[in-house]
Parts: sequence; C-alpha cells; structure tokens
Amino acid sequence: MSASEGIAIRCTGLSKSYGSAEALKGLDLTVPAKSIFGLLGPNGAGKSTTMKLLTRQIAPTGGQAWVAGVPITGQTVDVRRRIGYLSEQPAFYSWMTGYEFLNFVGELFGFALTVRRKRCVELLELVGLADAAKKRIGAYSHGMRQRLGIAQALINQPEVLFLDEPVSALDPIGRKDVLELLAQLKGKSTVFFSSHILADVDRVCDEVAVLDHGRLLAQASTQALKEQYAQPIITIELESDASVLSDLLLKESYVKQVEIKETRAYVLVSDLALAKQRLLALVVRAELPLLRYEVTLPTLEDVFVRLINEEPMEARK
Amino acid sequence: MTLQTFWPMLKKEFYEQYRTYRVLIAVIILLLLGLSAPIVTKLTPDLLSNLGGGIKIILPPQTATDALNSYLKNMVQLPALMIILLAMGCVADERSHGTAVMVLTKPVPRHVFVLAKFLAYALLLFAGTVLAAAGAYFYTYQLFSALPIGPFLVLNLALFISFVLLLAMTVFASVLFRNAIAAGGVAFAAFLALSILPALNATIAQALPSALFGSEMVTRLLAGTASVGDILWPLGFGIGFTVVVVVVACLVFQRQEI
Repeated sequence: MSASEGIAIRCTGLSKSYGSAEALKGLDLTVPAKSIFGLLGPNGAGKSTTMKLLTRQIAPTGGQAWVAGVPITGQTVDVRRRIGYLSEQPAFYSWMTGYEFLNFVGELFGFALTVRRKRCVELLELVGLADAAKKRIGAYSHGMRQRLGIAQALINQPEVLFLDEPVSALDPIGRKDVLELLAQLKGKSTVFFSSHILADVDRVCDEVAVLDHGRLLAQASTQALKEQYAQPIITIELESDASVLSDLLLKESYVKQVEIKETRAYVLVSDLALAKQRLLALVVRAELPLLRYEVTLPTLEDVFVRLINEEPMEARK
Repeated sequence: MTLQTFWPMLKKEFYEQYRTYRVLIAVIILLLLGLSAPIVTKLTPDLLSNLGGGIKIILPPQTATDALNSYLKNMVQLPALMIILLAMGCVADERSHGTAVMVLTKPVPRHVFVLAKFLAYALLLFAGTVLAAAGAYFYTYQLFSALPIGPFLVLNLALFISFVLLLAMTVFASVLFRNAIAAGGVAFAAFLALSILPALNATIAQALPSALFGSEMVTRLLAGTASVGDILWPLGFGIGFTVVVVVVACLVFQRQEI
C-alpha cells in the first residue's frame, strides 16, 4: 500500500491508553491520497493523540497505522522521511534565522547543499518570508512563525502533510493566507489537518472525519456528511402572522416539520428539489403576502453539532 | 540515518552554544580557574605576610606542586556548578518549549538527539580543560618550575573524565524532567553524592577519577611512584560509568513522549 495507490493513511484499530484512560479507542480510518482531509472534534476528542501517533511522537498501545505505505511502528523505513508536520504551537530555535532553520531541517533530511539552498529560497518565497529570511526567528511575529512552520513542514516535499490546528491562533488575514497555501497543495500532497474552526475546514477539505471521546463518529466527504446529517431549511417570511402556513405546508408529503415564529415559518423538508419546485407556488396560490423566501443550506457546523449531540452516552465513557 | 542526522544535530548544538554565549562563559570560567591557581599560589605568602594585626604567618616556600594542588581544587568545584547550569536544560527545555517535537518529527533517531547534546558539551569541556591546563601549566612554569608533563596530562584527563561523568548525569536528569530547574536539582544531588560518597567508602573513593586529586596521590604521581592500576582504575571506571549513564539516558528518552 502506498500513497500512489490511492491511500495516504490507513488506521486499523489504532488505540492509545494512558493507564486506564483511553485517549483513542480503536480508530479505523482511511485517508485518500492527494486529498485535503480534516480531522474534527471537540477538545479531548483524540485529534492531537491521532496526530502524535501518526507522526511517531508517541507509540500506540493497540492497532496499527500506515502513512504513505509505511507502518508507523516500522524500524526499517522511517515514516518521518515521508511526512511533514506542523504542531499547534510551533516552536523554533529563536537564535536561528528563518533561512538557517530551514537549512537545518533540510540537513536533517540529508539534502545536498545546493538542493537545500534552492528549497529554502523557494519555500521562503512561497510563505512570504523572503524579506525576513535573515532575521532572527525570535523577532518573528506569531503569523510569521506559523508560516515558517508550514515552510519547514514542506521542505522534504512530503507525501503526507500533518497540520495540527494550523490556523486557530492566527488573525483573519493570516488564516486566509494559510488556507490559500493549503489549497495550493491540493493534488500535490495529502494534507491531514485538525481544526476546530469548522468554516475553514468546510472551505478547504475534500473529506472529514469527526472524532469524539476517542471514537470515530463519521467519515465522509463534506458534501456527503451535510446531506446525511444536516437537512436544508426553507424560511418563508410573510407580512402578516405566518401561523396560517402551518396547516397548509404540513399537507405536503415532502415537508417534515414546520416551526412558526411570528411572521416566519421554518420548513424542514425531506426532498429539497421537490420543495423548490412546489413550495413557493403553494404560497403564491394561497395569496399570502410573501416578504422573503430563502433556502438555507446546512453547514459543517450543523453536521458537527448534530453528530456530537447524537453520540450515545455510553460511547462517551 | 544515524550518521546523516548526527552531524547536523552536532553542528546545531555548536552554533547554539556559540550564539547563546555558552562557549564564551565556559571558556572564560575554565581559563580563569586555570590561570589563577599558580598566580594565587605564588602571591599567597606575600598576601599573608602583609596582613596587619601583628600576626606573623610563616608558610613554607610555595612550589609547583602547591600550584598544581590549587589548580585541581579550583577545577573540581566551580566547573561542576557551571556544567550543571549549562546542561540542565539541554533536553528538558527543548521538550518544554516544543523544539524537540519540531526536530523529532524529522527522521532524527532519539539517541542522536541526546548524543549530539552530550558530545557537543563534552567537546566544549574538553576545549575548556585544554585551555585551563595550558594556562595553569604556563604560569606554573613561569612562576615556579616546569611540572612533569606526563602526570600533569593524566591529572587533566582525570579532570575531563570527572567533568563528562557529571555532564552525563546532568543530561540524564534533563531527559527525566521537563523542567530544567528540577533537572538541575537532581544533577546537583548527583554531584553531592559523587563528592560525599568517596569520604564514606574507600572502594568508591578509589573508583572515581577524583581519587587522583588527593595531595598524596598527586605527590606519588609527580614522583612517578603511583602504580598503573592506581591510575587506570579510576580513569576506566569514570569512562565506563559515563557510558552507562549516557546509554541509559538514550534508552529512557527512546520510551518517553516528546
């Protein structure tokens, strides 16, 4: 199995316990190669534990995982040659300059001097730090450090790039820059990143997995998850009281639920296409004074909240 | 992979020592200790004779041997504290600050991470010991007479081995704790143990490199009457003990979470 065969990461029954506390409970996960994959979950869900296991910072207590076709516990081939990693709060040697740090990382991968020079210049350019290349990292801002962190994670042109909460500590401009950088990697490397900023995940990820209390709750493309776990809501606002809509709409087969709040009706439908065809016409035929008609598409946050709230209590123990 | 990553790690440690002034601090301290011993020994009779209060202190004429004993006393105590302060955070700080994660998620074996630090500090101590020894030898020659070079080298080798033994213990303590102060405390306790135990047990006293620093042994060394066993046993035990401590430090670090 290798990244070129279509799978970048595979976990089977991957577990990590600390004494009696189970941080990760038998994770089965498959991440397609060249995808941007989001790992979601509330605090304590097991996201960081998964990252640490897959990047060999800690050893599993059960199960196995392969990254770019290499077992994470393997001794003959080191998975760390094939990955890039950026921790949530990247730390650097503050006495080094940005260029020196990238050069040092390149040396650790065994790159020749000419290759290192080329990669350092390219990456500093890519992350917008070319002008600060000779500045000490101790004088870098938080955003600059984050960008340097991404540059060092890319120095070996990794098959799989692990990013632990890469944008959560950044300001909106910094977040935008980093997300654009990630989008540029689409189709080149597999990006596996954890985040609790769901809008960002929704924006860049092809596929996501949701963890909670060390268990995998769901894994699918963002679109599939939305379709499965969050249904669209149609909002109809009238100039007058909307309670008249309740009886009218509930007669329709595709309407699952109607909630009235003064002049507004929130309609939950089972078949959005059919609802789009018929609902507006129904209101018009009833000659009701229509003020607003809006289809609200579900967000990943809706999916996330529903998944977390639906998890049975026994699974949380 | 070990060799491929060892050199960059070692180089990084050297740069770090240089940029954070550790090289300067270590060299200045050791050099001053080396230079001051013969000078202070030479000046001591004059200083005492100039003391007021009508007290007359008569000292036998100071010799090169006295300067050597003074040098050894200087080099046993203050450098120990310097070693602990310099190295107590070498692993602990990298783990607590997060730089260890940055390095160890690259293809760097954990033992390379520890060994590079140990070797970098050991080489710094070697350079410092050489400078101190050269300074002490030169001024002893200028102010008294030339010391026999063989015994002087043996004593400096013993000093260096006692330094690296304490360094190994400090690095091990730094592996055990994420907090540099805690690591320093444990290393200091180990230093106290190394200082006190020889006084309590004769076997331990003969096994440690410090066995060669007693004035009686120094006299025997200079006279050429010390046996080869008297010299090799403490040196060999010191090296062996150092190797064991470093290997254990590497094994413990291998199993730790970064």
